[in-house]
Amino acid sequence: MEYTRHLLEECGLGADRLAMYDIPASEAPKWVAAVMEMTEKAKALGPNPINPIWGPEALVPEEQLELAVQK
Amino acid sequence: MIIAERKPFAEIKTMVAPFEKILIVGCGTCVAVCLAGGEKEVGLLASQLKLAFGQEGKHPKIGEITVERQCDQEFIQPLSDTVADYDAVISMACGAGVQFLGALPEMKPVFPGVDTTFIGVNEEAGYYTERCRACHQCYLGVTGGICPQTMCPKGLLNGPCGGNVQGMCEVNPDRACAWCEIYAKLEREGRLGQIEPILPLHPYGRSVTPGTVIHPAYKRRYVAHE
Repeated sequence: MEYTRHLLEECGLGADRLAMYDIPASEAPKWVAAVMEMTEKAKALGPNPINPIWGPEALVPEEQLELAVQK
Repeated sequence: MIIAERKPFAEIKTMVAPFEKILIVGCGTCVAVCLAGGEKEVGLLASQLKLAFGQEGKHPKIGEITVERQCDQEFIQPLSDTVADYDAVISMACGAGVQFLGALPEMKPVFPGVDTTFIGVNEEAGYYTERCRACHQCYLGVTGGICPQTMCPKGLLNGPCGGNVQGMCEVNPDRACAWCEIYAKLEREGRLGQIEPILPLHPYGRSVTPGTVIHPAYKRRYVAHE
């Protein structure tokens, strides 16, 4: 988990976009709190830096072809 | 086995930034065991490069392939065809593999993906320690299976220095003195007498690089190279 956060930090996405919570099945409020915390964190971090260029038009030709075949 | 560490991502990215088609070649032997350059690490690096270049609006073609060993012609020769489709190659093997791969005919520029560190052992998952300096003259038979060249930070061949304190090393007080361990082991085995003769000066002349070893059975085949 920590290593994956490190990998994300290294490639510029930021480690804070990934977190792991240990929540028992019987503790629903904890789950809600975790979801809210991550949502706030994601909002504060802003959009995924890759997102604006991540539409189908941003795919390389081979990937576009693959997508077309899948459809 | 050879122990290596993955290079910092920024260093790898800088090396391959000018290229459009990059092939990452993993090595399935030593560096796979020490979690530095096997198939899984090739996948991780490829994903990291795609994510990092993606943020800059670049979409280089990044290929992944892992061979059994990069230090063996048998396994790397088939790569000659694969690299034809790429501009640059990142080798995740140890320094030997990087050089061997780079020497293939028609090879594209090769960049190392790992820093090769030492010959060592896998103590536990993710924990590796050095055991051998590949010094060309093994005294392990005399020293109870503990290498004074490697395990003693000073590489002392004939007994400890005067710096050990209660059996601990003066260079690294968290470690036991290699020579104290050698003494204790030989004492347990009843072989203490064998460290009394002074070992000759280490034959450093044999350590001239690059080293070559020709197996006796192949002497005739390679006699021209001797």
